[in-house]
Amino acid sequence: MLEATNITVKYGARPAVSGVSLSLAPSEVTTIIGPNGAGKSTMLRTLNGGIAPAAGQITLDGRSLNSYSRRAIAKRIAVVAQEADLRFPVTVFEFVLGGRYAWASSAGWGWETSHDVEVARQVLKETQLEELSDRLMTELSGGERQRAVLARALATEAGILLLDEPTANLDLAHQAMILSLVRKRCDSHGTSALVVTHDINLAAEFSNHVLLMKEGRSIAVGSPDEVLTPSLLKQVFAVDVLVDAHPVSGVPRITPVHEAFR
Amino acid sequence: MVTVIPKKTISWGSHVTPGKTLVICGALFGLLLLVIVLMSLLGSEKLPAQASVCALLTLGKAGCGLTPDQSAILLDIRLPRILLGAAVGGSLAVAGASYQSLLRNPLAEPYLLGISNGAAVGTMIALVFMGTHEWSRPLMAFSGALIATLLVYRLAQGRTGATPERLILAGVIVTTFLSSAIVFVTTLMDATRIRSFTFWLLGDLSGTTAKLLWLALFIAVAGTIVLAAHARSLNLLMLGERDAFDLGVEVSRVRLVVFIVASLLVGSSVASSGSVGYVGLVVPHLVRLSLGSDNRITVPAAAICGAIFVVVADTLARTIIAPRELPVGAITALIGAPLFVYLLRRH
Amino acid sequence: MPVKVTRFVSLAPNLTEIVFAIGAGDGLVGRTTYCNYPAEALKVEAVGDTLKPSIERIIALRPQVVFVSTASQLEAFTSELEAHHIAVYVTDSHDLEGVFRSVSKLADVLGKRSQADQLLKQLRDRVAIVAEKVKGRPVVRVFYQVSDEPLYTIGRDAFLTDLIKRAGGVSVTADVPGAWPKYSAESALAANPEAIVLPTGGSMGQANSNVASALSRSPAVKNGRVYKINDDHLSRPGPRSVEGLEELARALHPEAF
Repeated sequence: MLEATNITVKYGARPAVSGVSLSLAPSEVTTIIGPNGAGKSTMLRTLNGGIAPAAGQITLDGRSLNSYSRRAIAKRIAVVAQEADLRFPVTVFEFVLGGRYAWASSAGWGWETSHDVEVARQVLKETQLEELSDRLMTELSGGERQRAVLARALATEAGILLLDEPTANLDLAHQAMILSLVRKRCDSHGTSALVVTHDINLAAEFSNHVLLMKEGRSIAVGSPDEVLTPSLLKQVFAVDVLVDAHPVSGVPRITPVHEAFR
Repeated sequence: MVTVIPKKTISWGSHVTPGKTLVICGALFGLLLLVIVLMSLLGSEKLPAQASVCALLTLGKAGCGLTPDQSAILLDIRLPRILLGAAVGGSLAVAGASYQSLLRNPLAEPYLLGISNGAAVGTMIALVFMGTHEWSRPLMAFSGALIATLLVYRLAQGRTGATPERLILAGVIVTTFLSSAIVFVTTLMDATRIRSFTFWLLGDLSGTTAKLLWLALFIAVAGTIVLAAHARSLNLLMLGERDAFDLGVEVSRVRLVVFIVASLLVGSSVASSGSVGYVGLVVPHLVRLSLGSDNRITVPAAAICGAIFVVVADTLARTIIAPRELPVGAITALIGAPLFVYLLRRH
Repeated sequence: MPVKVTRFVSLAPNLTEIVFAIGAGDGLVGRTTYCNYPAEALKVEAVGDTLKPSIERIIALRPQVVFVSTASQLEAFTSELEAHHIAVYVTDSHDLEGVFRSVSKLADVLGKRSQADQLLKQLRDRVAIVAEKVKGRPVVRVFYQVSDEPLYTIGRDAFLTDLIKRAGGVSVTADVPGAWPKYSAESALAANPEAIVLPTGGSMGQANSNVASALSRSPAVKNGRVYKINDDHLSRPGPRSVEGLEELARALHPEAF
């Protein structure tokens, strides 16, 4: 259980995030939505200790986040960011195995145990990358690489996943795939997930909660139905939208309405 | 930025294990021992092969049939020089491999980053102003290397921290600045010393005391062990500092340790033998090409291969125009530069 | 070469010494910072060191000729000097006779023929005396240590090799190609020289006052035959080289003096 209360982050004098609170419960997917510069990624980064907030508190399983060591946090919170910087040859398997770092017995030399290898294989199966596990990461397509990054995060066996724009630059098929993998994980393992995304419709499809942010502030928090309304979306995005129900799933479907087509 | 991603020559199966590492490093170490023995048989003076091998293995204790002069040549002149070459080669290769992982750039090298120039300035100041004190050289070399590292780091700090790109740029600035410092210190020396300094600046393994040799060996081994202990962290850092942080690596701590240990390695090499170039660039590259990028194997393998490389290069340096000698740095450059161009060309 | 040379610059300490020895010191308008003998030379303006003298300073002094001791020094700026109508005169001595020839040639250029002849007669007389004293004596095998670390010595083309021969010795590195080779420690050890010459002191100060470790067990060291001689008398091919010759001969054959 991860709780963030009244988080403020400042870059110099300018506040990137002001007084935002959120909490992540098991088996739930929360998305953060907002325009560029809303502070979504910054907010996400405070949650695993990557950025220190100027004000506010973060507690993990009841204790302050600061009381945990780097490794302890890594075992509980995993981050899926844009794909990695790949200047050296590394196979998919080795890449995913890297997620077991925090579980190593001693400080540095810690070789992987058979359990580590087992977890890596499981996770590769889960993300359907088994056949590609001996290929070099650079040989994979964008979508496959993103899956590998997700696989590595899953290999940490963390109870909390933080995903920063995981579907950017992915084709339709992969966008849906990534989020459904996350959803499945949350359902099967009780994982909590926080997803920062630009794609409002995917958010509607896959999340339990939505946090709407603008200029560092939290505008609204609630279920997709509650938050994804034309007035709130207009307030945040300055765009007129039409919200109806998705014909198949029933979740809110957001369609922008442009001046020219009225 | 150059993106050099060569394919792996040896396929491991899924990943590097302690067993595989021990086998490979064991084999390489055996090769190093063989190279040491073979290179001891070569030099400007001819020595009888069998008697020499016997003397090497018994360290001169048993009567192997060498004259006192031959024994002195083999055990007091050649062997220490070869061991120094091994220490210097190993140190520079491991330092290079670590910088490349830490800075995520296969072209990072102690020379490019100005670290060796810092060590050289330190050593030269020690030689000109503190000539008599034996320990002044390595101490000033470490200080020079550390100060250069600090300078590079400070220069590279931006709002987002010291990214690898900024570090390389800062390194080039510091290198250029320190090169002028070297020229300046050279002018403070009298003409007779300048010749010997120019030679030393190109790498010279011929002059060292027993104490400095033991220091160089100790640092080479200890430094390699410490960096190998951080190999797994380096593996993650190689793929991005943020990712490494997220996965549990204490990035600032590891960065500090690597910089300090690498400075010690470079400082000890430069203090004892001047600037031997290309080792930190070419050896880690070749090791990665054949064994992959997992630092748990490339760090010890680079140490051993760097040792072999410099021992062989120095043997060439002291035999090609015998009884005259060439600076070993000239040989490593002659081998290293074309090899480097070839490696770049592959992509 | 201009007919009468009254203004010139010397870019080598040995050439400065020759200039003053033949009485032409008045015309010297520029010298290097290393040209410190004789004392009168110090009054002349310095234009930099031997490796990188200041071309601007030289040109500003408006000399007619610049004297240089080896061609290799000056390829870089010979053309620039010649563009300013300054002649460059190169001397290069591989043996003592060559040194005497340089003295003659310099004298011809500077119009000091008679002074030079007188000087050369005196020098040749002294050389002859040394030759007489060492004639027939067993030749001493000498290692000439230019520097200890890195180990440098003299080779085939160094004029010191000739000087040692005239002093009744033979350089153990007389066959090595070049003038100032960096030498292998093991070959130095194997050479087992009977005597070691350490050029030190003078302008060199304390440098090179220790025998290289490779030679620490040589017969020379064991028998205490390590001789420190003023480097200025040995490394400057000029009038004082004869002093160097005498010191070498006295060291190698003390019983003859």
